[in-house]
Amino acid sequence: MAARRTQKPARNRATREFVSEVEEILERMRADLSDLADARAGGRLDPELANRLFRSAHSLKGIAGMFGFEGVSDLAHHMEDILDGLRMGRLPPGAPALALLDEVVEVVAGMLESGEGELAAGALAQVQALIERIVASLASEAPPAADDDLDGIDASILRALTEYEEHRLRESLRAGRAIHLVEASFEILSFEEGLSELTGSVRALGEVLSTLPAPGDSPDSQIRFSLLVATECDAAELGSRIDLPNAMVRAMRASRATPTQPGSAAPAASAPTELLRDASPGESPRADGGSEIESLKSISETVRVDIRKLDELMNLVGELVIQRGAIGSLADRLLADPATARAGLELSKLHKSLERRLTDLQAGVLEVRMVPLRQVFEKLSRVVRRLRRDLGKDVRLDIRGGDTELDKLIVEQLADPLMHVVRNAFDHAIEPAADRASAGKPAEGSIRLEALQRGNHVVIEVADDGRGIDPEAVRQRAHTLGLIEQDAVLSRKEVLDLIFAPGLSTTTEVTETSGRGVGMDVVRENVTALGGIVHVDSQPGRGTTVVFTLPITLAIIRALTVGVADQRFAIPLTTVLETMLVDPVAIQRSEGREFLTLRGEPLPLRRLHAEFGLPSPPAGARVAVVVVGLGDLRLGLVVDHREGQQDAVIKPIQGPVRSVRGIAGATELGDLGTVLVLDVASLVEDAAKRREAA
Amino acid sequence: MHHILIVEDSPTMRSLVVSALEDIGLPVRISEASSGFEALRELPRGDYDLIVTDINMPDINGLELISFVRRNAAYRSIPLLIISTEGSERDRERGLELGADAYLVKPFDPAALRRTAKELLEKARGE
Repeated sequence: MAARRTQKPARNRATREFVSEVEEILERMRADLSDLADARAGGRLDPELANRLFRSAHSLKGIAGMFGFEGVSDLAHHMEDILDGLRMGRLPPGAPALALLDEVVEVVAGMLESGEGELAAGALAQVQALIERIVASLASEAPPAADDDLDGIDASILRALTEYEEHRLRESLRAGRAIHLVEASFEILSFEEGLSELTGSVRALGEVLSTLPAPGDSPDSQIRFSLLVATECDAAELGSRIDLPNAMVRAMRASRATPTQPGSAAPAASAPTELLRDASPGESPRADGGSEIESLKSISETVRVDIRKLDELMNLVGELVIQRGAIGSLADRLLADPATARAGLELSKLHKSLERRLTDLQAGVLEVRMVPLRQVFEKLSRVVRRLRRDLGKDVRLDIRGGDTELDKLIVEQLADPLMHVVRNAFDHAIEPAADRASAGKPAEGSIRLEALQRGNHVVIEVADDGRGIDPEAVRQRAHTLGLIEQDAVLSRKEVLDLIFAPGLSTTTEVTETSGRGVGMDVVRENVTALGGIVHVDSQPGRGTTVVFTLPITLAIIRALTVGVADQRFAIPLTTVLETMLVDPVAIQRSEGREFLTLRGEPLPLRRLHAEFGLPSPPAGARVAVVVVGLGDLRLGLVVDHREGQQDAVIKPIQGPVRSVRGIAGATELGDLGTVLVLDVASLVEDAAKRREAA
Repeated sequence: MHHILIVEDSPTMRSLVVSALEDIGLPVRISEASSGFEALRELPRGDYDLIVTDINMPDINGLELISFVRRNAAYRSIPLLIISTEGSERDRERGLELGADAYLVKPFDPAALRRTAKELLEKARGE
C-alpha cells in the first residue's frame, strides 16, 4: 500500500468505513456459519473455518469497541468466546452454543441498521444471558490442557506461534501426525506467488500450522519461509510430492500412525531432504506413493472404536435422557403454580431445546453403532461356498438387503442363529440332486437370504426350496418327547412352532424327515434375548422360510408407561400401534379368552393384572387397552390407565425377576423410579400360540 | 520526518490508528499494510522508524511478523508497537518476548497511542 501524506480523515468517512466493514464481516460470518452448519452435519470441521470465524468475531469486537457500539461489541465478545472454544477444541462442533451464532449475527445486523448500535435492553439481555449460560456450562467441561512435550520442534518456531497455532500443533501431535518443516526462499518483492504455490501443494497433503518468514541468504532481496506442517506423510513423501525448486523438508516429529514400511529406508530425522525437481515424469521417487497416501488418508478418516466405549457413551446418553425427563417434570410443576410459572416457562423452553439436542445426540450415537448386515451375510456366503465344495451339493445363496443396518450388538448376536438356520437349510432341507429331479425341481437348490427394514424393525428371511417340514413327523416326535398329547388339536402353524421346542429339533430322527435340525430352540432363545421373534413357515415339498423380526437397536427406547394396580410398566413404543379407553361391556369372551372387535377384526386381549398376579380393577371400571404388534401379530394389553411417553434405557435385571416371562428388563425413569419393561415379543408370541391352539 | 508502518487488516481500525498518529505532534509519514504479507513487501521500501502491528491477521500473523523483523539485521532496531484486541493476552506476551517494545489494547485511547508512539520514536532517535 502506498505511503501517504498525513491527512485527517473526516469522521464520517471513518463511520462509513466502519459500517461497511461490519457489513462485510457479518456477510463473511454468514457464509462461514453456513459452511459450519454443513460441517456439523457432516461431522468434520475444517479447523481453518473455525479460526476464520473466530477472527471475524474478534475484528468485530475490536472495531465496535472503538466506535463505542457497546452492544455490538458485547455480542461479538460472546461470539468470540464460543468460537474460541470451537477452534481450541474445548467445544465440540455439535455444541448447542454454535447454533446460536446465526441468531446473534442477525441481531448484530439489526443493531447496525437501527444505527444506534443497541437493541431494546430486554432483548439484548436475553440473548446475552443465553450465550453466557451456554458458554459457562461448556467451558467447565473443557479438557485440561495436556502438556505434551514439544521436543524436536525448533524453539525459534515455537516462540512465534500464536495460542491457536500452538493448539493446532499439539492437536496434530496428539493425533499422531508427523510434523515437518518445509523451507523455501523467494525473491522478496515477488514471494507471494511462489509461496502460495508451495502452501497450496503442502495443504493437499496436510495442514500448514504456521508460516514463519525469515531473512533470506541475501536479506535485501530474499526472504525465506518456514512452513510448519502437520501431515500423515513422512518427510520423503512430502518432499516428493512438493514440486518446487529449493524447497527443503526437515522431519521434526515422525508420525505415529504411519507404519514403517519394510524395505523403504526411513529418512533420518532432521536430515534435510533436497527436493529433486528434475525427476522425470513417471519416475517419481516412490511410484506407489499416491496410493499409499490415499490409504493413509482413509485410515485417518475412519476410527475403530471398542464397542464397549460406545456402550458407555450410550449409557451416558441414556442417563442424560432420563435427567432431561426429570427437568421436564420440574418445569411442568413450576408451570402449574402461578407463583413460579414464569421460571417454569423459561425452564420449559430450555428443556425443549435440550430435548432437541439430546434427540440429535442420541440419534448420532445410535447411528455410530449401526452396521450393515452385509458383514454377517458375507460370512454366511463363505460358509455356503465351503459347504458346497465339501459336500458337493449344488446350492445357490441369493443375498438381498445387505445394506440394511442394525445395532452392532444385534448383528453380532445374530450371526450364530442365522448360521444355524442357513446350515440346516443346506444340510437337511435341500434334497440330493436325484430327489430334486424326481420332484421336478431344478437341480440347483436355492437359499434366499433377505433383509428389509420395516419401521423400527428389521425382518430377515431365510427361505429354501427344499423338502419342507413334515408336520406329522414333528407331531409324532413332540408326542414321544411328552410335549403334546397324542390327540392334541393343533393348527398347522402351531405344529411348525414345535420345532423351536427344546429337545425336539436336535434329534437326527426328526432332522432327517423334517429337514430341520440343530438347536432351533437355541435359535429362538438367542433371538428372544435380542427382543426379537422368530417364526417358521413351511410347505411340504416346496420349502421352508424362517423369519426373524428384530428391533433396530437395544439401547434406548421410547416407552409408554402404563399403570396396573399400584405398579407401573413401560412398553416399548416401537411395538405400540394404538391405545384406547374401553368400556368393559365391549370386551367379548369366547372359549374362555377375551377379545375386542377392532375395525371388524378380533383383537385378543391379555390382562396384565392376571399376567403379573396384581389385583384386578373394580368390575365395570373403564380400562385402557394398548394395542401392540410385532410382525403380523397383534395383541391388546389391558391396563388400568396409560400415563405418558418416556425415554428408557433398558438394563438387564439381576436376580430372581430375571426369569419372569414377559419382562425384558428394568429401566430408571427419572422421578418415577425403577419401572419394569414389558417383553412384548414374548407376550405377543404366547398369545399367538394360545390363539392357534383355540 | 518519522516514517511509521501500520499493519492492520481491518480498514476501519487502520484509519483510526492513522488518524490518531497524524496528530502526534511530530512530522510523520505513514504507510499502511493490510496484511502480514503486505508488510513484508513494504519493509524494504522504506526506512521505518516505528512499526505498529495487530496480531490476529490472515496470511502471517503479528507474532510471525515480529519474529521476522527482529531476526533481520536491517530492521532489528525499529521500535515495535502491538495493538491487539483484548482477549489475546498470551499472544501479546509472546510478542513482547519476541522483541516488541510495547503494546496497547483495542479499543485504544488515541491519546495513549500518541503518547506511546511518540515515546518510542524519540527513544529510537535518541539512541
